[in-house]
Formats: sequence, C-alpha cells, structure tokens
Amino acid sequence: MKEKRNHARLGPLVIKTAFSCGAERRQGYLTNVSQGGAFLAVDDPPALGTDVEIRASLPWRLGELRARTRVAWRSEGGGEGQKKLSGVGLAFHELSPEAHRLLDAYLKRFTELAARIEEHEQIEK
Amino acid sequence: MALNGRLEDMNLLEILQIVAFSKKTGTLDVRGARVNGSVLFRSGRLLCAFSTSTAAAVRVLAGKSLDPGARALLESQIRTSLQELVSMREGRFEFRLCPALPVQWGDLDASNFLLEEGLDPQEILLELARELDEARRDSTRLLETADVLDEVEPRSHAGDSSAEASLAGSGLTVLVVDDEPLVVQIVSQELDDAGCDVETASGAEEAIQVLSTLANRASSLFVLIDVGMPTSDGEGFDGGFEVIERLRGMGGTFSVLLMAESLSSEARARARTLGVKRIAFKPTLTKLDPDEYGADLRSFARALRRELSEIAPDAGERPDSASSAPNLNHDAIFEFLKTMTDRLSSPTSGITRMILRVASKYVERAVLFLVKDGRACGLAGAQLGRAEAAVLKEARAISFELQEAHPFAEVVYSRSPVRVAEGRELPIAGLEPGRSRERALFPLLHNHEVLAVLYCDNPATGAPLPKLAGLQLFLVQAGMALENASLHRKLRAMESGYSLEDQGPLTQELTPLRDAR
Repeated sequence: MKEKRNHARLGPLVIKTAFSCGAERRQGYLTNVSQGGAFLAVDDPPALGTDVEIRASLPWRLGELRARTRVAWRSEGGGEGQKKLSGVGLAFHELSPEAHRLLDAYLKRFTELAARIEEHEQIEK
Repeated sequence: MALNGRLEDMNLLEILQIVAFSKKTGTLDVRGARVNGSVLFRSGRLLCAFSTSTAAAVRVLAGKSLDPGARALLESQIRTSLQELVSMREGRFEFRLCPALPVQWGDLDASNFLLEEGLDPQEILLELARELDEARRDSTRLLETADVLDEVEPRSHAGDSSAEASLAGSGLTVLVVDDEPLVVQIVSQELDDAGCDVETASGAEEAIQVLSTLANRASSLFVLIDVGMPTSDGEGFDGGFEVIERLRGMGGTFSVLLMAESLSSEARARARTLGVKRIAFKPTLTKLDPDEYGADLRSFARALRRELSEIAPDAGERPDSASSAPNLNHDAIFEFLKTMTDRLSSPTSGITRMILRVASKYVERAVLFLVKDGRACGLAGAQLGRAEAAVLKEARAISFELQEAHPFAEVVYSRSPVRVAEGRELPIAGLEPGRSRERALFPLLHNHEVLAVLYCDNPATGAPLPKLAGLQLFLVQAGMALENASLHRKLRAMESGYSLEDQGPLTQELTPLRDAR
C-alpha cells in the first residue's frame, strides 16, 4: 500500500527519545521527523493505535520536544526501506504551540545546514 | 559556504546526519588536539572512515581488493573510527564536496579499499547513538557507585596538625579489629584521644565476643577492620570479610570502615556487597623501619580520626570539622585544582567526591543531581558545618521531573551553567534554604549530554557566589574523565576478545598513517 504523506520527511537522523505508553516509560530513537509525525526506532514496538507521549531533547540546544502521538504503523524490523528498523510510525496530535515552535525550529535548522552543502555545490559548478 | 565549524557547536553525530541527508559525495575532515580523522561519503552513504587510532589498520587495506575478510575488517575499522570521532568534544570539522569518487585520499590509493555499496547511514547513526547511551549508563554507574567505597585520603603531616577532629560527645564507639598489634595500639590511642569509646580485637572470634557486649550499650557503633587477616580456616588472607559477614549475621546496625594494604577490584566489589562504604589504605612502604612505620601509622590514625568525624552516623548536625570554609586564595586553589585534575586521570572511584571537594573550595554547599530519564535525582552533597552523612541523606531524598522553563531543565537543554536569581523557585525544598540568595547550576557533560547537574549556594552566610570558572573547568575535566573511563573499559573488553589470528596476514603490515593527510 502506498504511504500517504502530507509533510516532507527529514532523515536519516537519530534523536534519543523518552516515551510513555500509559504507565510504561521507555526509551527509543527518532530516526526521521516531519511536521506530521516521526519514526520511533525501538525494540518490541507498541501496538498499532497506541497513544504514545514522547520527550525528545532536540539538537543545537533548541530544547525538549514533548508531543502526544499515536502509532500509525508498526515495523518488526528486517524488512526493506522504513521496515528495516524495528519501531513505530507515530502521527503527532495535539501539538502545543511550544512543540510546534520547536519542531519548526528543528526542521528549519536541519534543512538550512543541509542547504549549506547545496550552496557550496552551486558555487563549485 | 561549506559545512564547517567547531565540534563544540555541532557534534559529529549531528554532522553525519546532515551529510547523510544531503546525499552528497565528499569528505568530512575532523581535526582535534589529539584525534584527527576523515569520513568519505558517496551519495550520503559511508564508504570509509579512519581516525587516529585506526589509521594504521585502514592504511593496510589501501590498494588491495577487498575479499570478505578484509571487507569485514574495514567495516569494523570504520565503526571504531566513527566511535572515536563522535566522542570528540573539541576540534574543527569541514565537509568538502567531491565531484566524483576520489582515487587518492591523502596519500592513499583509495580506488580499491572503499566499501562499494557503502554503509547505511541510518544503521550507523543508530549504532553510534546506542553506544553513546551505553557509555552514559557506564558513567552514571561510576558516579552512583563512586561514593559507595571512597578512599580515606591520607594528608600531609602539615595538614594533619590543623585537623585535630574531636569526636567527644558524639557517643561513638569504635571497635578496632586487626591482627597487627601496632596498628591496633596506635589507631585506638588516636581515637581514644579524639573522645571515642574504643574497643579492640585481634581476630574474628574476639571481635564477635566484643560486639555482642557492645550491641546493647553502644548508641552509635563503628567497626574499623583490617581486611588482610587470616581466615578462620587458615587458608585465606581476607579474613576481614569473613568477620564482617559474621558480624552482619548477628544483626544490629553498625558502619564499617575497611583497612587494607591493597584491594583488588573483586575485593572492592565484595566490600560493597557487604555494605562497606569507606576504605583506608595502611602504610606499607616503611614497614621495615620501625620508627618510620610508627610515624606513618600515626599519620594514618589521624586520617581515620578525621574520616570518622565526617561520617559518624549520629554526627547529624554537628559541624563537620573536615570541611573548611570556601577558600578563594588563587594560588592555593590553583594548586588544589591541579592536584584534583591529575587525580581525574584514573577516576575508578571517588569522582563524585572529587567534584564536591572542589565545589567546597568555592561555595558553602554543593549538591550533585543525576539526570536520568527526564528526572533529576539527588546523588550526594557537601555543606560547610554539616556532616556528610546528613547532607547525603537530604540530597538522596530529592527527586523531581525536569519541567520546561525550569532552571534545572534550562541547564540540561542548554548544556550551560545557569545562575538562579533570588526569588526564583527551585524544586529542592528538601534542602534547607538557610540564607541563600544566589544559586548556580552547572552541567556535568558526557558526550555532549548532561549527565548531572551541580547545585551551588551559600546558605550559611548568604554571601554572593564568587566567580566559578575554576569549578566549571573542573566539571569539564570530570566529564572527560568519565568518558575516558568508559572508553577504556570498552577497549579492555575489545582487547580481551582480540586475536591476532582473526586478522590474518594483515597484522604483519601495520604502519602508521602519519603522512596520509
């Protein structure tokens, strides 16, 4: 089935993330992020539809992203592409204004840095 | 504008993400004071990497066709290189684009020895992040256990004279157990002079007898015991442990300070299991000279006296005679910092204590909070005029979630010190506020993450905090020492599983890559 995405996905990346499903608290790694969601690499991933609250310390001293998410898809790992890693695709919901701001700042900073390489390439050409 | 800058601003894990995302071909060069390295990318995938410690092994592979064995070796070298580069705290980096794959890399023929398909950057990033977390857990354990078996520090004779710690009125009874009569005589005399009730025993049976009589009458009991006594079956020389086990079996509560001439890591572990918190190393070098040995033993006994005055369980709110008021004499503090920094080179124990000792030179109170799973938890503390045990108890009772817009969270996410202005609330109600007005929080960094936060204030006098640059610098060194300790443990583990045969004929050709760049 073809994935439906409304937002550009940023990755590969790795952001250590604490998450909780109900009373359970665990740790995983975000390996891609977009405005709409993220992939959380974790062994023994939570079930489809589970509400997951994440707390990720963003690079470049931006701050801590806290977001309520829901498991949109799940991978046991060992497959191709995104299914290669064990984990869950999370859809963000109820993002606070602060979480929106942090996410925007992170995505912007990341793409700006990648663009520096592109700009350099243009100059070289 | 190329992608370049300082590792202090962007760590290598973050740089690898940016380059992998760009899907470009080029070389990332990293240069630090002690470690250099390079990573070669094609379309964002990692083709090769080397660092200072792997350069020789990578060089061996240059110009050779990669059979499966050599390929596995190269992959392993790439991973080791990346681990080394990712752990760098300072240095410069630059990613330079290459229009096509290089055939020369430095002075290396790069045409053959690159991994054809390259390594999946996502896989590598996750692997590196997991390794960093493992190192962090290692360091957390080191911090958490560091004060569990601290060493009693011998001090200079000059220092001894100024530290006539009194235990009079503490209600402390000390049982000294050693099969060496001279040790028992000198130590018990010193403690008697200090005001303790002292009992002695020369072996297990006698110690148990004495303890059974003390159990009912001693309000506060301390056992000072030599580990190197013969065991009851006469087959071992760690009879001190046997005695502690038997004494513990009798019930009752008492603290133990272990005396030893040396102690293996296994013995340290056994001591911790038995609830021993302190160890004091007896003088050994002068044993053949009775006069010198006697003098050394007296010095040793004075160190024990000071130590007991610090940790006496009922010393509660008695002034802590071993801790002195902050001393901001620049020369003295420089010498002290230098000594403490030297000691960080082998931080197998006591690192928490070292941090608190340095902090005590600057401020009246310092409390170290571990940062773990989004929470800050009190680990240990030191406070002018209070016994260490009391401050420790207070610190350990504090644990709170790191909240946004909170000074502690600010330190964790900015990785920078924060001065907390008067009136701003902190979730550390468990700490007696005293007259503190200004407070400061310092991060203890480990691989670019905050492992712990040091809280500092002046509750006794309410004096403004002094310049704390020396303390901040020491914390940087302490973080690096923890990183190194973790790396050394890893290297030892690698060494123990290393076999020359695994590497085949390649090991015969190892030469340094001095001129590669």
